[in-house]
Amino acid sequence: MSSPDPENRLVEWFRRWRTPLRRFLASRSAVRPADFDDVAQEVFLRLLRYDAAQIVEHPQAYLFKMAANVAAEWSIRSSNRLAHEPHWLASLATEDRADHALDCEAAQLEIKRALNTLSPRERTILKLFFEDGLSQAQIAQSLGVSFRVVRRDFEKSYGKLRRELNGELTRALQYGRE
Amino acid sequence: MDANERRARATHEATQWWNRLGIERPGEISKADRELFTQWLRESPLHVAELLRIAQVHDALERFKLWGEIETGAAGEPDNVVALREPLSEADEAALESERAIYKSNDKVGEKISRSRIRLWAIAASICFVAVMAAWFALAARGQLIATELAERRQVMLDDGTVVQLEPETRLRVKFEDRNRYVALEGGRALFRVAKDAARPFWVSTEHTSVRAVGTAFGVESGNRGVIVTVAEGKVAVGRSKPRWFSPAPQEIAQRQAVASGAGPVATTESAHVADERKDDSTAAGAAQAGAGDVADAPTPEIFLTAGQQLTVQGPGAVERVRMVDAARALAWAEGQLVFENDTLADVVAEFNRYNRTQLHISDLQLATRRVSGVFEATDMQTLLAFIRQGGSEIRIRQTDEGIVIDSSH
Repeated sequence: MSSPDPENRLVEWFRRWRTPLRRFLASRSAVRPADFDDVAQEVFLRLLRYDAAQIVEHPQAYLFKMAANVAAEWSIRSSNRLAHEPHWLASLATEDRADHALDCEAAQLEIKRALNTLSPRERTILKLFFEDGLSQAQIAQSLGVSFRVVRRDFEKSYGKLRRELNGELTRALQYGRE
Repeated sequence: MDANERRARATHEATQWWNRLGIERPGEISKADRELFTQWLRESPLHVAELLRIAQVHDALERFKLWGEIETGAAGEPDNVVALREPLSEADEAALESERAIYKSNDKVGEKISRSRIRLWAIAASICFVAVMAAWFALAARGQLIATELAERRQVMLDDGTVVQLEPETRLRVKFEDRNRYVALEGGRALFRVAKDAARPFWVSTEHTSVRAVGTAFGVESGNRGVIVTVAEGKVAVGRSKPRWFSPAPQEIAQRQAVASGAGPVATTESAHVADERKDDSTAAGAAQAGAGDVADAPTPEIFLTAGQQLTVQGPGAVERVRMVDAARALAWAEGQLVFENDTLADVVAEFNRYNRTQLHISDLQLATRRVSGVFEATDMQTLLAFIRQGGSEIRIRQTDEGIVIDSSH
């Protein structure tokens, strides 16, 4: 889907750097299921090492670039470590497209399930934003509610989805697509 | 605060940042915002993790293909319970009506099947409506409470993007309206980095002082020494008026309105300011409350403060003067530092006690009145104790069950 807002900078940055991050998070070869917390810990330390003034120029870019770097470095490391393990080769051989398709479908259903836990208005707002590409201001207008209500619903629904979404499933979705 | 709460708060702040930086505001992000965001990220790995997670939520939604299967009509669902929790401005009321109309028209399709269900929902919904409205009115007059406890410091972002740094034992209430943003500081101190919104002035009220800002950073302290306003950036206006909105309980509003309506001429003189500071306080409050909700015609003269200036208001009737200060030093508490200049040791200890769980006690009266100057890390009690020990060989410091006791041997 195209970006709903061409000037959506944070999303743009995220999009630019997400592939390695996603590949890492979805990677089956990792020693243990690494999580955002692990990546975040390392990114946090790197953020502290930099001069604040430098980061302030493009904090979003730094954040996602660092996350992507951490993820890329770690996946190289873990795949090196596992290269000699016979079961890793075996799993590589049996990994097929059908698996991905299944994962994708499971992930789609998982997102659908999570969305259905939101209130009807929250669902409506997300749908108008992601499917119809309306901006938050346009959504407010079309629903006849104030902009603040839309913004708050957005925040609330992201928070709920953050708790609700099963990370394992949605990671598979991301990996399968790029 | 336990780990779950901390995480929940980080999630909430991350959604606000994501929204603010990514979705809501197209175009350039201001330097002030970028600085705040950087600062927030560098505060905790938890913040970084939650922002990445929120990014992932956004990503999942972008890649979601089954929007067509997502129900939004919600026929028969008691959606108004959710909607009614919002502050009901006129626009929102109208929106609710139209929302209900939409749901009603959707209901027609399944009317025959679900009529009885709708009736049941209608009863349930109307009960909820009454309950929610009652709760809303009880709460709305006082605004949303944000408070910190002993030794707790917190940074919160308000709905408009304003960031408030709350020091320990601080209570404030937040109430945002379409034309004004109100914060009542009931006690303690807080640093405000106000998000620019020329159409909605930002008011910080204490019991007898209110500060108006458009987009700026300033600290307000309300305590024994009076109300101290220190400006770090931009410009604020300090009024001596009894604020029009200062967390009154609903019955208080009713009382005050009754007073105001009985005191016709007073209402036109507006509330007390520098010129008529001797005016009876309660009458002034009544007048103030009569015009509650609209502060556009705020009383003049106000005292304007710019960056690096500080004003202390010791109470209604107290004379104040504007001082030039080193704002970074005067607001050092926002960075976790405590600065003392010729303060009594008792004050210093009281200040430290707010920032730390381990409590200090001075049992020697003479010691308590000693004057102290210096800069301390708010949580570094050992340095303070070492400093106190230097005060003389007679000073003894003992650890007891209730905390650390400082006394002298003579």
